[in-house]
Amino acid sequence: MTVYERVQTLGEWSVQLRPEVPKSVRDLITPLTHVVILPGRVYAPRLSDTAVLASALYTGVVLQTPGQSLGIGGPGLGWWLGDANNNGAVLESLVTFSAGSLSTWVTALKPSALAAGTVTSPGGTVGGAYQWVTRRQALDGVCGGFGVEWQITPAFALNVATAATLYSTAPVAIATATGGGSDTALVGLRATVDVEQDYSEYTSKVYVQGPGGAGVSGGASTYRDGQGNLATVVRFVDSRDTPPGSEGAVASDLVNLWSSAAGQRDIRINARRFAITRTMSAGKYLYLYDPRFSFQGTTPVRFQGVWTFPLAVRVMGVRWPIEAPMSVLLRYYSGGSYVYADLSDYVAYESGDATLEVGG
Amino acid sequence: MAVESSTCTIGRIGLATASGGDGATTLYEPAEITQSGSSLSLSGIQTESTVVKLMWLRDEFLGLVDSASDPVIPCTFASYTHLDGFYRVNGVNADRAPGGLAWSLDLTRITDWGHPRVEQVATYALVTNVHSVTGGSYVIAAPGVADAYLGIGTQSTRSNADGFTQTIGTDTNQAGPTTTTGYGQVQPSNWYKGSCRAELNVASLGTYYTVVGRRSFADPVDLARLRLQNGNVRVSGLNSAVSAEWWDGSAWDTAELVSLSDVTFGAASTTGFSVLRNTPEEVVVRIALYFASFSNVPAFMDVGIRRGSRQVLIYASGYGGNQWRATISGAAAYTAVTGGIRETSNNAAGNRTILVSNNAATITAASRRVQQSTTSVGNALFGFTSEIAGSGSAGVNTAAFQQAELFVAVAETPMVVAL
Repeated sequence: MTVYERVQTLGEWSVQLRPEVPKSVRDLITPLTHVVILPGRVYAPRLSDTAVLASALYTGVVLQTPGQSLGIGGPGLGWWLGDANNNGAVLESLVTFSAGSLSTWVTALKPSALAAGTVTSPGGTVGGAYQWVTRRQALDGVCGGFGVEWQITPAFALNVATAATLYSTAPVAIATATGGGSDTALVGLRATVDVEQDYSEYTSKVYVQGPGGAGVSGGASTYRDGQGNLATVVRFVDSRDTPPGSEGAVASDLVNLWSSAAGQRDIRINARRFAITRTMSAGKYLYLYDPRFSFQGTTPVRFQGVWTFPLAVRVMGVRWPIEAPMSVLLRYYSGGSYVYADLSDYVAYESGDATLEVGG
Repeated sequence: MAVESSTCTIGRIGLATASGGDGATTLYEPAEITQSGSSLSLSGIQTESTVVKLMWLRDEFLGLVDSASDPVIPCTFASYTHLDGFYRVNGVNADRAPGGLAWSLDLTRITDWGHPRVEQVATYALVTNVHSVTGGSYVIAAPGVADAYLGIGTQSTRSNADGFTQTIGTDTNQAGPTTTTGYGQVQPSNWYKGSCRAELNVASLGTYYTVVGRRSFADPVDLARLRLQNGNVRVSGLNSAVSAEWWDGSAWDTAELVSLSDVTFGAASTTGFSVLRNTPEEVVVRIALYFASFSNVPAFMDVGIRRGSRQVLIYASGYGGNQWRATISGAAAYTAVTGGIRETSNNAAGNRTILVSNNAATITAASRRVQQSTTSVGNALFGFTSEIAGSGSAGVNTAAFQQAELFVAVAETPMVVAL
């Protein structure tokens, strides 16, 4: 009964149907149809396919069809790039460019199941060759080479750009233990924050081995060993998806992540807000402020009448409940076009907090 | 029904005015006290002369559970002094009962409850401004009357209307960002002295009662009855204007009035208000505004005071399209200073009133106002304060120090911990 969305992953969704669901409706829920969730109730037959998808909170692929338990579910639209086991959208033919632009790569790797979105290149070219891997693996590799990310909208559009372009780095919400109210510029989320800081994955130097060679970045850490030396903690990454020539850049990105304090934190924020992804979707930046536990930044931000010094963190994943009165629609192909069956009357809705995953 | 005759204080309830309470309630000790480990359960019956007073007392009790507002509260008992100390509030119940108000509290006694250590964590940094100010000043006061105190900045003192000499930490030319910690120990009975508080002059009672916790008031009439004070400055007459009186060491001086308006749409109308923050170190109320000639688009005016500071912070925000202006009433002459205006000569009380802003670049001293240059500047922050003793002031009381206070953002979080 939740939707889980995470940056550049498949995610997942599940819906529990109530026993009153007619067989005629159940029979429409076939594999590879889609479930579309809207923030309010709509009369779908009156709306065009474009209008429904444009206002959707989420679109997921149906892989679990209703059995006796009447539960249905599946992954997000990222599944059309290849599933979690690296099956599905496998590149059966070689895709290779010696110096391809981002748009060239995206055009070549985009499956026909997805629509062309907006591709904004930071510039430059990347070379490489991909076959017998999923389109998602190839796209991950190319995106790593360009320093960009991919994103699929509920309307099936595949967008590729830097995280700043896709999501903006300006936080639109602030999570505080005492918050809940909103200001004109910031949405307040009353939140409980679970934080684990575990340095078992800490790394100060990274070697990346790709198909085109090796790259290295980093060096000694700022921490001392038991003999007074600055410790060097090395990690070796074997990455077949890294385009030739990008190994050093990828190693630099990884060491920046794994050597930072933020990279050692696993932060989960539980916040109560209806359709939270309208405000805070996976990929966006969030202000987090709890000075009691040193969750604070250095720039003053006026919020709820006082000065705060919030920390800007990136929300990488969001798990949110499917709550009434959201519309849960089934999108299926019939008579040469896509039509909708409204499942909302048969959905066992739930309520509760959304969980935001920060960093990682 | 029998009631206790000895008195107690639960947070601000039952606390005398000179100790930071409202002085309006004599709270009788609980009829039942159950203690188990660090847990303490109290229940009692309170009788009052009027139902209105009982209901206000009920609201004060219910506000105690807003632990996010006041994480720990001091409790004192006239005949159970061994229980005096600091507690966390886990649950509260208060409602009318035959004979009065039945109240009960579930508390957890914190470690070293009677005389714990207070960690005072403060972060400060320069406020973005259009006046090329690169450093400002701050005041961070000791919590209550500290028995022992290792404060933040350079220690100084300031007379407080709560009848004591308040210890304050100050510094100048600060840009930060800096996070620093002060330490102190405070008796439970001294916790609220010199603290910030919001008070409401309850209509039919004719006296001020302390607002406990964060609350919203939908009736604009209540706004005229609201008062904020910290023993250094006292704010009332709230609507889209702020009337402030400053404590000069022996009396509250004659009030000065500053009005907030929009350059195009004029004065705003007010609806309700909310107490956004209600802690000893800072009190802020948000007043909901709208401009009838601007399609009733909502806007807000936050009015706040900080412990130990004379400055009233006024923050104006809207959904775009506002060009904020603050104007001091009266006919006195003013002179432009960095970020705003200062009264040219000492006024009848011997003081000089000061108004400054971080991003209001148009300063018109002759009209006693500062305003934003365009509608695109964004939200506006104004500081309204008084140079007590005017030209004879010194140190933290000078105009230069106080106008520079606006340019340093201070966030203060106290934590009561074990020694």
